[in-house]
Amino acid sequence: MSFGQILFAIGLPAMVGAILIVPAWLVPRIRRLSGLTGSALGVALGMALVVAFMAEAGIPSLPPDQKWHMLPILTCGIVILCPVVAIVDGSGEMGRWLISIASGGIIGWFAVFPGLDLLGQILLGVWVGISFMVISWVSHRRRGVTVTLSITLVFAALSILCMQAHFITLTLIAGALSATSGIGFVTAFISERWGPEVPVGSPVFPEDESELPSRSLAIGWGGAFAVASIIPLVAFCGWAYNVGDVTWLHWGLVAGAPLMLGIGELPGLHHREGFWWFLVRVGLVALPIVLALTLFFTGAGLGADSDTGGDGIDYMHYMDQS
Amino acid sequence: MRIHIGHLAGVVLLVGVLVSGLAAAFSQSTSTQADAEVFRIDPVHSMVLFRVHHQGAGQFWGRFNDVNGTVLYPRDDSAAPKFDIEVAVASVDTGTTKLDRTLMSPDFFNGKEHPTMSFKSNSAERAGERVWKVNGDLMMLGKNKPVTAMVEVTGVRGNPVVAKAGWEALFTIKRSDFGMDWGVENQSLGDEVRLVIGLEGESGPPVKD
Repeated sequence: MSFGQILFAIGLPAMVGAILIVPAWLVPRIRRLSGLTGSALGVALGMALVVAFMAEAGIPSLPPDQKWHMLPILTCGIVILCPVVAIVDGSGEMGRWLISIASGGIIGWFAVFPGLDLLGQILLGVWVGISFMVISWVSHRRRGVTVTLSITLVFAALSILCMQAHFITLTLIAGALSATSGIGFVTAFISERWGPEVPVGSPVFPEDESELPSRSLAIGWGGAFAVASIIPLVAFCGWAYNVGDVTWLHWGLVAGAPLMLGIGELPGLHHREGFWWFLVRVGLVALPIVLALTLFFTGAGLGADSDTGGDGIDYMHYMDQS
Repeated sequence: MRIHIGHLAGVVLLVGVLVSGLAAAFSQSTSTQADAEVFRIDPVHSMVLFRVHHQGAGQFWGRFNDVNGTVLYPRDDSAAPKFDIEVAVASVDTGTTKLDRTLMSPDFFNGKEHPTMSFKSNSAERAGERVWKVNGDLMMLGKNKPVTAMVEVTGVRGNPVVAKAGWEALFTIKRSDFGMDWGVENQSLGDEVRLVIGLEGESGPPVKD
């Protein structure tokens, strides 16, 4: 694959993401519309995934030809539901629990990847649900820069794992998601530094989030919904189709990394502000990622999940029969 | 001289078996049209070779090593061979482990979801002496598509009880017909794939592994 092809496969979806994120987060009139602002990152990530898939594998068929085509199909659903979730942002604990259970249940039910039995599907559903609970909680307490930079790292790590799992299209999809999150990070950074003032008490910042600076931008429940759904989906898909040496431990550490954002919001840590605490929060997310990649590239940890390993044994088997 | 009745019965039985065996063998060798026999594919001496255009430059070759199935075929070529062949996707072999694994991924053969490919012939017409034009269904990535293969019977050798026979099949497919689209649009990998299939089968009693 040439550099130009890789740039196209990652750049085009990221450009689509940018078209959605930049106006929603930087244009003052649009930014005041909570539904648009709160769903911008989520819709952008979902669109990036679908565009990246289509750039490589064409339009997904329904019912899917291959089980992994449920990934873009489910993501289309996430894109449609994202604005709805963004609109009900701040509807209280009951709303949060309902979205968490519904998203986990639906995704766990439909994501039938090879080798993913009922227990695996339940695990995926629970993972999505817990991720939404944590990230939606964080999205009300933390600025967009911290969350977007963190998920940029997570998607980049997923892309590396997918490459090691020999899954080219998923590598490019995760790369496109990382690039889109990166655009979200840059946009959130610009918004925080030089962006338009948004009065506290506006739909973007409800009264209970008055602690956030008025210029800052949160990803909202819409963004949290997409991030909480897409990260486990990509990780479980990669794990299901892995023919390399990547184990469940590596996938689990990376897919679980965004949950580390919750630690930085615990009582006693939540009010710690400033650049260094920003780095600490991102560092907490980076910790399991670095651990996973270190374990993988040093060959430590568990044996490969793949059943295609042992080339030497296979080779000898064929040689013996000649 | 006394002959035990049991011994006599044994001798009669032995002679009967020998005579009937010879008669069966004689009738087989002198018949004008032999019956089709089931040849079990010998996976050690059978393989599927595939060739695809890479980056618009070189022709790249790979193979599948694990080929199984049966061929129904009369030794005298009086009827067309009937193929029922299965290929294990995990036996893909390009000489490079990394590439083998990439070919196992959902971008290509999707070995996790579709661990086997198969070919079943359904009709054939003679194209020459020991050459047949065989029509059948190729099943790959869960999709069945009709294909036509030129099959040459490369040899038959054996005795009345067991025999070995060989076939070489050539045909070309479009992998996009089966949903294997990766690299087709940007021409990083050709759509047309040429297949050369070498088969060797053995008839007679089953051989223990």
